[in-house]
Amino acid sequence: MSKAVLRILDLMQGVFRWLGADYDILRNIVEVKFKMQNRRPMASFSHYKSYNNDQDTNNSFWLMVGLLSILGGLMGISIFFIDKPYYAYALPFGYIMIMSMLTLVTDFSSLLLDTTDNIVLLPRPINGRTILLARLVHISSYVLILSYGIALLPLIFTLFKYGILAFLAFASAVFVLAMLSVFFTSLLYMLLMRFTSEERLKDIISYFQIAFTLLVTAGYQMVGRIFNWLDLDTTTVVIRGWHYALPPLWLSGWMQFVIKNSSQFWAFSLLAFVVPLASAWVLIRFLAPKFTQQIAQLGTGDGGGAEKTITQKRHGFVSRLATMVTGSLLERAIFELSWKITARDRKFKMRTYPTFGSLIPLVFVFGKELFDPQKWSEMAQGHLYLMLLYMAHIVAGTFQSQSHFSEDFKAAWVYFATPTDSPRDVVVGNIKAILLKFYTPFYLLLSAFVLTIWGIKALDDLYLAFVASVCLSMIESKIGSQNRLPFSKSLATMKEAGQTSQFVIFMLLLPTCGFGHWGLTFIPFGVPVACVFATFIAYVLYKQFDKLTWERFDL
Amino acid sequence: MEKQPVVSLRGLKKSYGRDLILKGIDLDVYAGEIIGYIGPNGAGKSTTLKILIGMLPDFVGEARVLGYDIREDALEVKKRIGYVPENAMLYEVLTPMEYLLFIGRLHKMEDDLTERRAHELLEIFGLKTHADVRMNTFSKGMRQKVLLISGLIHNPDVIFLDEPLSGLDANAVILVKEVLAKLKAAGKTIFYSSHIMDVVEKISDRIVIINQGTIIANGTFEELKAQAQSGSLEHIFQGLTGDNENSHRAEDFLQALK
Repeated sequence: MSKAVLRILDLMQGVFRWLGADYDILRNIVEVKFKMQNRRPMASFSHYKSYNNDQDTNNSFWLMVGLLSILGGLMGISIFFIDKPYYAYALPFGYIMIMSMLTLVTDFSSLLLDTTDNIVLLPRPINGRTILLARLVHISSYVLILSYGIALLPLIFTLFKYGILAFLAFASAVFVLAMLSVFFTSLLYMLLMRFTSEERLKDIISYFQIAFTLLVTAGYQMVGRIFNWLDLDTTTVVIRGWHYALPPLWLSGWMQFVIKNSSQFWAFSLLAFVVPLASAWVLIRFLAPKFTQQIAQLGTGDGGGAEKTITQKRHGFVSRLATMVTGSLLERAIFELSWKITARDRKFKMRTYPTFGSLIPLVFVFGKELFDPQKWSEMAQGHLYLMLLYMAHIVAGTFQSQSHFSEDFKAAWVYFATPTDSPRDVVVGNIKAILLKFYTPFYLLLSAFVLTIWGIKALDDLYLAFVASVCLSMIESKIGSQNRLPFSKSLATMKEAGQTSQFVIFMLLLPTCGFGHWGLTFIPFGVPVACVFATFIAYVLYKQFDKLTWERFDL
Repeated sequence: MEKQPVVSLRGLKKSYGRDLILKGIDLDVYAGEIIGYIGPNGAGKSTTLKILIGMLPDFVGEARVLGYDIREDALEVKKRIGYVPENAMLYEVLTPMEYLLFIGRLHKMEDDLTERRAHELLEIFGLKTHADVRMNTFSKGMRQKVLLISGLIHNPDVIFLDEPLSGLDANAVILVKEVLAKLKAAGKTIFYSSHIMDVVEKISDRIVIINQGTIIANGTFEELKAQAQSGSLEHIFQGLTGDNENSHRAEDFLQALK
């Protein structure tokens, strides 16, 4: 399929020559870029993929397009059962736009900000225009393939339901939308690059990636509800003022205009085509040259001057906290190490932060009453919050199991090169840091929420669930990950290691604890007694770590 | 007839933000010379090289390579030079053969020619069996070899090398030294930046020492030796870059441990 793109380019070579590019070189660059792109793991989907076969992926891009087109098909089902195109197309268009923008932001960060590009291409005899056009061609074909990939099934649906004219209208709309996405993303990048340094930019992009994963997780929950906001139950189509602010609605307005001849949608149709064309013009005329210039400067300088050195405080809150909660010097060292690495390692944040989103579906379990203080007293009757409290362990579990992996896993030699007689401190220091840094604040937040609605009587439940979670963490560390050392394993080994045990804990032990706890609430004094008992178990588990010996570890 | 310099720099200045990295460099290099360009970290070695190959068009002063003005005729210069960057930067998801073919095409070489040359050069460097393996599994030395080939495959007249020996094993270092000598014999000009003093000492016709953005010494090894009254390049370097307190420092180092 990369070949097909190149063939289309061949047909257009006159245009590129006219624009001042050296076509042979442009083609060569685009070809290599496609090849590399297919071999690079897609950042936005790395979550769902095993790391271990990354090295030999040859089709990762096409795999992603395939996956997205299935999702696009799901979004497009609305075309069949909603008879008003204005509403029916809003979802597929919105989906295409969000997806293409987010994949642009996330995956292109690795391509766009790849400074290798500058080192490799700039010393070669290529004129600047060729590089610029090669970049534009690459980005545009990327977005177009992605957009049409998502639109594939909706396109077929349209052809079946409304015929060839609507099909063509839809196809052109997708093109327009892709251009808009490129424009918005470029604008975003330019603004970010204008105001932040390269390092900071990478940080910001990683937050986008986290948002992306969150959106995908939460997105499926939202789909059904979007239609509630769209006045779907009214018999006629209602245009509201804020609709004009949403580009996907311009395009679905255009579809309505074409299919139903609804003349009140002329404004949308106009917007749909004028804005992208105008923005494309602005992009090529004004932004792109500046953009490539900015990118070109990224890798060439030694630091670039704009870079500010961030000096970290040596003794702060963390070291005081560490002294408080740790026993030995080594344990303290590990505690601070985990605390700092988890704050600074972008990849770690990307792997873990989205798990906070796994609690979002619970909002829907609680339902609408949650937003209505008058109904809180009704809610306070039950024990629904136990579910929330136990679900919260997923955060602790994920952070902890991920803390064993790092890109810098080779640095773990220090544990073996230093004269420490027992690995206990290393393992325990890490667990403490993860629990205190991520789980505890999160849990306190949830507790505040629970106390607001359920009142002070939930206090013993809160304690019990917390201790249970700590116990589970320790069990996970012992059995699940075989006491792996923090940040000592490569990402490639992540798949085979520990995932099943984590699954067992999440699917078996965690619900058992949760339901057990629920059962205890029916027994008088059940929970307070269990609190004492659980504390004792936690103590025993904690003491177990003393028995750890180095024989069980290797690099 | 007066010999035209292959590389000529006049009052070359370059700043990043407020920091002036190069504070006025004047330098002439003639055909068939091997120039060893040395200096402490951050002295401006890589920056000079990047300006000379046309990667940094934003500088003050005059820079000419092969008679072409770098700012005006960057393309003409780039056609005739080879560059080997530091840090082993290349597209590591490609195989050496794919990468070299790509580079060849950027230089408008026929694929057949590139492939033939690439084959031979990879074989010479002992990478024949790795020609079609993706480079992300390569060691630093292996990547460096591919980079060296990619800098030379279009048979350039002037060759700019930025730390070309980093990561190479002893045998490869000897090979590269021999290759450089042969290239010189074939009339190529080589501009060579490095930290490894004894290699610079052995292969360079002329040694240029740069410190804090200015050239502080420029001459043959013999000249520098006479000037500094000292036996090895290491000592000359130390003397000139103001770091002759190293033995004191070593002493202090031990003290700090006590």
